Amino acid sequence: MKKAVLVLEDGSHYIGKLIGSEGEVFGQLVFNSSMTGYQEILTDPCYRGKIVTFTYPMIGNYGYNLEDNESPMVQARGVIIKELCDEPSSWRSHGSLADFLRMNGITGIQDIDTRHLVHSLREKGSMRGIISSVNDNVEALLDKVNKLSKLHTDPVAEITVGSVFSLEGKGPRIAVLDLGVKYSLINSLASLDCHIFMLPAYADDKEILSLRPDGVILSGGPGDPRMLPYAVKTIRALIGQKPILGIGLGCQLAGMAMGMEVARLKAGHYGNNQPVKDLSNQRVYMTYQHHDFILESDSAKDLVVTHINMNDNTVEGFISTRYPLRGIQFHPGFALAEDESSRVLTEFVASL
Amino acid sequence: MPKRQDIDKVLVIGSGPIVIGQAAEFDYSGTQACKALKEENIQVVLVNSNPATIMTDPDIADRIYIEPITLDVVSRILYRERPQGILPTLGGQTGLNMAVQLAQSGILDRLGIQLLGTSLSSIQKAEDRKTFKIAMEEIGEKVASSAVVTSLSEAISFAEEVGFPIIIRPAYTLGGTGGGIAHNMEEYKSIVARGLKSSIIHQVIVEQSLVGWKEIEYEVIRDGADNCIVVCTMENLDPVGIHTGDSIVVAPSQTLSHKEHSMLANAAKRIIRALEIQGGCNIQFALNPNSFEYVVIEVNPRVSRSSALASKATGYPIARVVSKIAVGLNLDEIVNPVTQTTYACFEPSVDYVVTKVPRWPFDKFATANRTLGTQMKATGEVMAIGRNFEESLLKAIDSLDIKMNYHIGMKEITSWSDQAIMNSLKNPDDERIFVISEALNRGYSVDEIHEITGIDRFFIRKLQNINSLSSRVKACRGKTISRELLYECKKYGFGDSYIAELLNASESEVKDLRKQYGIGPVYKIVDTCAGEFKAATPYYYSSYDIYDDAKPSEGQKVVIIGSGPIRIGQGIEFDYCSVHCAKALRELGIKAVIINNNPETVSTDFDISDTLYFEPLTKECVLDIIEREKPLGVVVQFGGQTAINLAQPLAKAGVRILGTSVEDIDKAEDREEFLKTLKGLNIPMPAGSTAYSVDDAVRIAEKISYPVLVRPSYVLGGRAMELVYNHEELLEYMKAAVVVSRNHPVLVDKYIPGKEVEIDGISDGKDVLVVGIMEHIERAGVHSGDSIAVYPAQHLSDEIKNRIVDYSVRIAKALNIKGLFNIQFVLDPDNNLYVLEVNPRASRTVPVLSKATGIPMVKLATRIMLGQSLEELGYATGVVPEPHLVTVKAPVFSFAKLTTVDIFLGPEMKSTGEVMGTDTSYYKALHKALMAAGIQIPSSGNILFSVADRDKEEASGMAAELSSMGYNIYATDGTYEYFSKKGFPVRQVRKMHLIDALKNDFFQMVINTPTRGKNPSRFGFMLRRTAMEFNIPCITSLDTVRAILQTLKHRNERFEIIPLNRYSICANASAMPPVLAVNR
Repeated sequence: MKKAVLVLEDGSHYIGKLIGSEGEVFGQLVFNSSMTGYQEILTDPCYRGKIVTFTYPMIGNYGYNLEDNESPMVQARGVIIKELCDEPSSWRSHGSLADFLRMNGITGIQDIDTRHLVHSLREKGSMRGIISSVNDNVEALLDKVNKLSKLHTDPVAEITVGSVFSLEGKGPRIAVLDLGVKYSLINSLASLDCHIFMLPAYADDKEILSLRPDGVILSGGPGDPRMLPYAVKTIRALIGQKPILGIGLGCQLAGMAMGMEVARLKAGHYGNNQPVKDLSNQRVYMTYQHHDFILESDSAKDLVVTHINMNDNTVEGFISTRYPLRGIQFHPGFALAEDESSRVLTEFVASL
Repeated sequence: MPKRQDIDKVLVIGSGPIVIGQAAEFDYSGTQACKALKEENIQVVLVNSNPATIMTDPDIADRIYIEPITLDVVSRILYRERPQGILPTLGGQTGLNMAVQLAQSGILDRLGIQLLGTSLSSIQKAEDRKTFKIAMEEIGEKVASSAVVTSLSEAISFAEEVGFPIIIRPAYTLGGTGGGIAHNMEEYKSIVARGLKSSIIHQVIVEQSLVGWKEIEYEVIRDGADNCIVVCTMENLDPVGIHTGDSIVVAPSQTLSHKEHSMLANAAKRIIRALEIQGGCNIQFALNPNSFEYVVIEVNPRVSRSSALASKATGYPIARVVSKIAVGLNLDEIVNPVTQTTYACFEPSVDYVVTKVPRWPFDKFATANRTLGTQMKATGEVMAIGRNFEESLLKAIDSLDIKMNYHIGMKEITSWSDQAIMNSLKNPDDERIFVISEALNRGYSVDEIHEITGIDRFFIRKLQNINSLSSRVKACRGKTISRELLYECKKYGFGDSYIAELLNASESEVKDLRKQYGIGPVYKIVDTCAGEFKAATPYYYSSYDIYDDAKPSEGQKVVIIGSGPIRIGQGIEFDYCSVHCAKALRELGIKAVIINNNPETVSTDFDISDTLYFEPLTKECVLDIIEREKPLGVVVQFGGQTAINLAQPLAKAGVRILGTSVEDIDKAEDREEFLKTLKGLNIPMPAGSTAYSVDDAVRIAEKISYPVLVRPSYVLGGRAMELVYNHEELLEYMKAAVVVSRNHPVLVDKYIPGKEVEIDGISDGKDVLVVGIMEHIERAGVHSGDSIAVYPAQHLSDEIKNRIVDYSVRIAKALNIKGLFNIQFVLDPDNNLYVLEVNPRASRTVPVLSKATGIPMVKLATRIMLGQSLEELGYATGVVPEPHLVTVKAPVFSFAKLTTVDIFLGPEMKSTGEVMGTDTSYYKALHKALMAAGIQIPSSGNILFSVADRDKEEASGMAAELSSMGYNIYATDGTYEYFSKKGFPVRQVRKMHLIDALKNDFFQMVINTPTRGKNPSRFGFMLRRTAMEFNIPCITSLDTVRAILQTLKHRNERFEIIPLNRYSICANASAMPPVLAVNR
């Protein structure tokens, strides 16, 4: 098996074996503690441009299939695994995860101490890094990491729809601002029989309003909300005109549009076991989320925090006291039992 | 919701004695529950009849009753204690059933006592098949259909309802014959008819066949605010059909995609909500491997063996959390003790693979039916953690501590015929995993094995990986194995000894090479969160990864070797000792490091030691930990024979063994050496010698005269030991039971049919404290673990007692014992006292004696091992004064689970657990112990005698007495002839009618002494097994009968309910007045 090297911006490096395609990939490292669902995670637009580390050490056991994608392709740029299973076993399996990665041109590394890497990310905070199977010069790779880190990227622009299109439905007309929408959200709306309009992230308020939507949904997506001033501007113009629901990145942008500050989490919230408390009834739900940024609660004006994360008390949802506007940091989908995000979504659609 | 203010006293019901299906896991959960309640300032009242438990220790609960768990006794405790609530879900099925009985009896309403946590109606909804099915259907969940039928027509209507295939299982068959799978009505009718015939009770269980479906378990918790979490998912390697207790189980699930996992997790949450459980439950699903179809197999509305496993596998303390929920707290109010910064309201994530492998008792029961099915047969289990499946499985197999570690397991199978392999694949037994590996070696494909066994290809491929890696190693024989290959082996869990075997090298050579290459394990932490948060608990496992999670702690440390899986002869009592040792060390400011691999136990709870290593108890793993931790020394006295066996290899590697030295341990364990020591002390031992051939054995037996005790020298603990009465029996034994050779001699000892007595003592090498002299009810020849024992001894004169103490003191001094020891004696009818054996370690009776005397035996022994003297500790040479209460320990058996095992008592231990009864008189204590052991003595009715010739005279006296008490005496042919001359009324039963009479409940008790056991076709065996299956007390030792007679005579004396704090000589064990013992 071919060797691969992982170099992090702090200069640390790990030597392992190549998985997926030969090559070199750069990205921000995140870790995900879900024990199943690697296909959903890798194809989730929220992971666009990131290098995903799976904390569970055996990944690929059930291969990949044709039904579980969250978008048409793998969105993560790189993948870090303890041990990849090359002979999957599942009645739905269409092939091995290694094949899936190769088909998608994804480079990854396996057989490194992933737990140690996770500790390092937890202690030092999120880092950028590079995986290479073509160059094993750590110094040179570190140099590259530093250079590439300075480049501005806009992962939302890479994945948002090119132009407006709609999905027929008999229910309320929903405009979805596509900041990195995943199939789960569309499927949820479709199951509520919504008439869905998908809009590019850079669509302005006029374009949105011209579709005469009953409500606007700001989808989840990857990256730093501060890099999307155009979206904040659009949202600000929409507030008060149409009921708005922001999810994930969309939640952060909605908060910013209301004047809230955002801050970066040290290691981000990634996984399907993030406990979130609904402050209105004190119930706690397991949620699916993946974000590095949070809204700061003390910067809230005309807003009430509705949900907090049980682990670190950060804001996971808010509602405006003046406008029909709310946001949640966690996502529908990932087949959770008591999907609080789906409840909020359903409520939102029902209110229109 | 904060803690309920209306609750300040709670009764916790334990699970009673260890039996198959209900083992140490309930001590673990019960102990955690008591501690969790005490943290909330709740007074805990505890009832459990099992003395070898930590939960029955004075510092765990506030008021402890070691009493039979019966409606009458528990009601009396409730009247006395008046708790506001009962926690019913922590004591296994026993505790749950008792709570239901209490509720139904009306006493709870009368006294205003509530069932805390899960309500009575929830329990009933989950436990009753009918209501359960309805509840499941209401929420759209399917339940596997099954029915108990007693006629062909009932069976047919069931089949018409559910469709084929159907599994047919006759209830209570001798040897489990008569079942099968029917694919159509024709087959079905014939199997059902056959099954009805072969079932003793004319009953057949028919069940919708889920053969080949995956068995998946979910551990779910729900609180009073309706918050639900899934703590752990577990996948049984064996598909539906093999009891989960007998399956290899992997956590988390390995072959489920996220969709399948979520589907079941969502169903699990719907189910726990529908049942309105407030607490934990275990939900078992059967999942079709080729679709999304699934059915619910069953729900246990309580903590269970699986929840103990889930707790140890994830680090999430289920019992603790469930107890807090029971007193009103919600999940988001309970701190996660592992991280100490997050809450219990989350779903644990792990970054390793956990494998549980059952430990079966078939090494003890040669004649047992080893086939695995829906009836659990394992006595215990081991768990191992690895970063890949292969590592985790191989570590678990190494942890089993049987001669069957991976390479030996494989070796035994290699000689099998192809037919035998095929048979074994089709009819799984305990050797399944080895058989599959061997089949792969013989060229069976993964698909073929999957088709036959139903085991997912994923797991079979992993076994194939192990095989191909071992072939690669084998190819290096005679050459030096490369660093890469050696590292790969270690990464996949190959023990040094396995690699050595493959290379035809010695284990030390492999270890040296490993050192040379710089290959060693690192230690990772079990933290509930896959590294997302910092863990505060030092709960480690090894792996051949790159980095250690943490540096070993600073300070003085001592390593305690645990006792591994629960098995016959090595039970929970050693875990009790290990836990007490850890406690004693911590009191001294020394850090306790525990190494163990049993997920059911208290010792592997993360807050018992300062550092816990969940590892195989092999020389390799233990030494690796010692090299890392650099302890002052290692304690081997408390981990049973497992730990003692490690003493020598560890000492050879330069490790300091604390307490009795390895040389002195050997002096006690080696027969010749020991004989020499005794000769020097002028203390007699039964005549006997070592035979190196069959002729030798015969010569020796003739010289010392029959009957003789024979046993192979290389096994300990009474395994394969037998009592033979004559030449023919000896030859038969020598032929069938053992291979005798120069390397494997057989010991032949004179059997002395006298009273067996045992002592437990503590010695510092200078002074020797004899803690107690226990007298066995059954005469020598019955294994001490299977005898009823009485303390203080009731039938020994002071002179004999003095002699026992004198011998004990001299032997302990001569063997230079430092710590605990146990000596077994036999007293012949002429009052000659012989020493049978000395165990230089904690014995099975340490918990009983500790509780009966209040002497903290393990604590004293631990302190002595660390250099303190008995004198400093306030004790002197002599025997501890006898308390005013009498304690009786009675064995408990699991014969119902082990078909084709003969139930007669002999030199091989058969019991799985024990109970203790303590009262103001011997008769009351005995009555209590028998009751706690579940022996129902009839107050009137028919008693059958069928005894061996040698017992007829003795038995006739007893029969006469029973007859005079109003019982009707029946006897089989020979016994009848003998009895009829004795002048008391006795009726004859023909052997041919006997079994039918038993089946029809004609007899209330059977007294049968065996002529010769082991042969399932013999009449006596049939008689005993049939009595067993029909739950008729069957007594196989006349000494037991005598004891029962005595309790019958005193049955009008109502026994007392006495809390533990009134047992000891003084009220508080830790404040014992110094120098209690008589200085000799």
